Amino acid sequence: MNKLDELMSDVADYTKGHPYLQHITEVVETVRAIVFHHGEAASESPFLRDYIEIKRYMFAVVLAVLPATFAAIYFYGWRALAMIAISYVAGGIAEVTFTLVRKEEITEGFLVTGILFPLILPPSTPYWMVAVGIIVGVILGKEVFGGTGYNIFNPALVGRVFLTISFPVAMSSRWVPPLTGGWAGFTQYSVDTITTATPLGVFANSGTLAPLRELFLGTIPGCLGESSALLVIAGGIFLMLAKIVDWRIPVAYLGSVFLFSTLGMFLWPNQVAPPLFQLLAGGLLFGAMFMATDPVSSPTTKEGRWVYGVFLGVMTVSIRAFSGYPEGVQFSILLMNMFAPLMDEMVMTFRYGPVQKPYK
Amino acid sequence: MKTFGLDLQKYETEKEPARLISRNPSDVIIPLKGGFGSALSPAVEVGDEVEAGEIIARNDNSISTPIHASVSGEVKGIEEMDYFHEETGEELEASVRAVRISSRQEKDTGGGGVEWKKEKPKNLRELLYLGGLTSFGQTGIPTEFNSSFSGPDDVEDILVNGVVTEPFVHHLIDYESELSSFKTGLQILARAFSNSQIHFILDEETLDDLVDLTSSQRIKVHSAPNEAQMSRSKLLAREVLGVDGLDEGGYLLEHGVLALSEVVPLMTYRTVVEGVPFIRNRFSLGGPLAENLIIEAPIGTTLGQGISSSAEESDRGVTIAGGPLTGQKMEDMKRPIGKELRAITQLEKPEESEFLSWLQTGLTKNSYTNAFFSALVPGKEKKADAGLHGEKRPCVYCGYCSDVCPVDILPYQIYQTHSHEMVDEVNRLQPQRCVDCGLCSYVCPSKLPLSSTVREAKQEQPGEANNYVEYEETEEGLVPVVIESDQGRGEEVE
Repeated sequence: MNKLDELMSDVADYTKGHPYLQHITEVVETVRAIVFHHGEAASESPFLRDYIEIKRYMFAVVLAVLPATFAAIYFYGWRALAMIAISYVAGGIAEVTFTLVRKEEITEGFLVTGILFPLILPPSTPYWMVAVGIIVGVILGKEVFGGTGYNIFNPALVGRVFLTISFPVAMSSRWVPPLTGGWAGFTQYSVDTITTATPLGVFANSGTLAPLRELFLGTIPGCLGESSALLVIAGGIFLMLAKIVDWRIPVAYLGSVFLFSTLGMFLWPNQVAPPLFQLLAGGLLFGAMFMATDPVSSPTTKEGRWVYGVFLGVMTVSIRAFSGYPEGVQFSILLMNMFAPLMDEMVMTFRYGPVQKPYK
Repeated sequence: MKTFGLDLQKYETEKEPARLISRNPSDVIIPLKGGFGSALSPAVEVGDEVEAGEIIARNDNSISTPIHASVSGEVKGIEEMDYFHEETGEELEASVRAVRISSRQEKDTGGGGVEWKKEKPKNLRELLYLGGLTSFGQTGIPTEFNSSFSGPDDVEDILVNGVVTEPFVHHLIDYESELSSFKTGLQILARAFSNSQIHFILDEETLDDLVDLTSSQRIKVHSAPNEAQMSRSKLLAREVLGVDGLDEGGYLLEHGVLALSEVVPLMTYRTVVEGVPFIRNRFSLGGPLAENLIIEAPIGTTLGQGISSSAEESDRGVTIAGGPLTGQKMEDMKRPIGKELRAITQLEKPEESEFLSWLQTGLTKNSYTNAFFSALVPGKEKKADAGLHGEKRPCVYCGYCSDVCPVDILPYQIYQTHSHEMVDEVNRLQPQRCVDCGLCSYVCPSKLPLSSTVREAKQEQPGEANNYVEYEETEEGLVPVVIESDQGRGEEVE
């Protein structure tokens, strides 16, 4: 293995001096850094450091969505995997191009965006649309702000909302029924395009509720990764136990959806669906576990995270009940992303008082 | 009290308890500055014969504490050396003089002590000064002899810190065999500072075994919660003694608290009762590469002789003066052991190249998160090396640093605002609360220099409470000077 490490180091050195290849040195270095960890010593106190690093941190999120990814393949065939691959390739090219032009380091945040984005798309989304969506998400959602760590919005959701608005038919009315029984999607490439509607869509149109058991297991139409509540919850619990995401956000979000839909059900019985249906249907669980918890675009203070979760719940229930869209998770999270810095600011003002500007 | 969820003791399990050993080197090089105080001029010349315990430098007019010959022998030379501040890791370009003495290898005997119960407090304070003990504490022990910025009457509480929470650092006192001398030392301190209350704080675990140690009217015994980095004196003053106003910053002595290491009562006993001044320092040695030891060696013993490790041996690891979280790297094994050294930690160097390390199970990788399998096997010893364990990345706002911060500040916010020079925003975030525990840098997945940034921000804070001590070279040598932290700030704003 050390030979491989040396070889990669040699390649990087060779490209550095080359008139054209010097542009890809960063790519070679990044690949090398991903494959081999180089033991850099801490240069200042503390000399003892935690083993957590951004690669492991991001990888834990990818690990947590793997169950939902398996469910996606089971329900919708291997085409789901192809969509993920396209997302990684197209988004990866956008990410690398941007960082190379700006002469910055390639960071690991894309590993997460690359898999989360296809999982929140309808199963029949055309491949080119996947590519367009992820490129827009990476560039407009992240790179224009300065890359991972500097983005205001969740990049995967920026891509998703861009597609929702640009291609409303493909994004909100071409749903396919999932495969069930036996090996289901594991033996098929894709699902026949029989257009159907999501449980939230059905409720919005006719007021009929899907059975909770089906919602829980995922045998209902929906986006690739979000259909099976069971596996999404499993991934979310893993992330919370691993302390990669703060449990406060999902708990506050889901709790407030429960509370406000209970309340709303009595006030507007025709528009607000009952709480358990709200919790299990659509992208709420996936959004609460993997999207709202994105540390960069959510508040960082504990109090801020509670407030953020509660507001998310109110927004989601309201959009689902009163807007033209049957699903409100993506809009709620993006809208609240904007307020995340404000929430932290309010917590800091509460804790430390306002900023003193004596020289104004 | 916050529970940080950090168990740093996982780094050392199944280790032998530390044993006390003594070193007697053939020659010593004694810096004429030890702990808090100015650098002094030597009162001896090359060729003089000195006895162990003899004062070789003293100046009652500058803020200082006398320096003693730590062995009996002949003065071989008076040399210049760079001054290394073990607490802050500062290497000051200003040099201090150091006296080299070759030892006659005599067993030093005590000069005969005094009956401390009959002595007046002032006389006891003089003995502390003459015994070289007043350079202890961050800003010295106040006496009538110019040993600190304050006077003895300013001391309201004396905090004797017997809390050990950093991994690989041991108690310097054997609380079984040395308890009676230690207790006498506490009583002497109580008599010397008769207007103040003595607080001896010990970790719960050690205190539970000591049935003989109970609070009296003058000496209160407290137990400290078993939390990461509870050993920081400022944290103990805040959490155990409930001292107010620490949010404003400043040295503990400015709040009337004199914080002292647990060796001070023992050294006080030796100085006052046995008549042996503070010439042999005691420090702990620990870490994956070292045997667990408490080492007693004459001040001026070189580090290499003190920990009996050659340059090649120490190349295998990283040698740190202090604990692994707050200590400073020591590269020169020839540097003499001064008065302020309390612990040496030797960590392994990180592995040069590791294949797909982020994919490994990580059974021996300790983490604040539970993202490694090590979380499932808490009993297994965790690997302790001096590696960064990752590459530096932009902040992802995970919030771990503020989760573990014992004084509720937001290190990531201070880092962001400080690096953008947003002075007012930094000030609002109260960096002066920081107790320099290093936990924020420890947990950071992006490997950002959080604790050193907070320290910088703290020093740039305006206000009297945040003044700090620096050493300046003057005609008389190195002298501690209070730097007013808002100096230069006016210029910056214009």
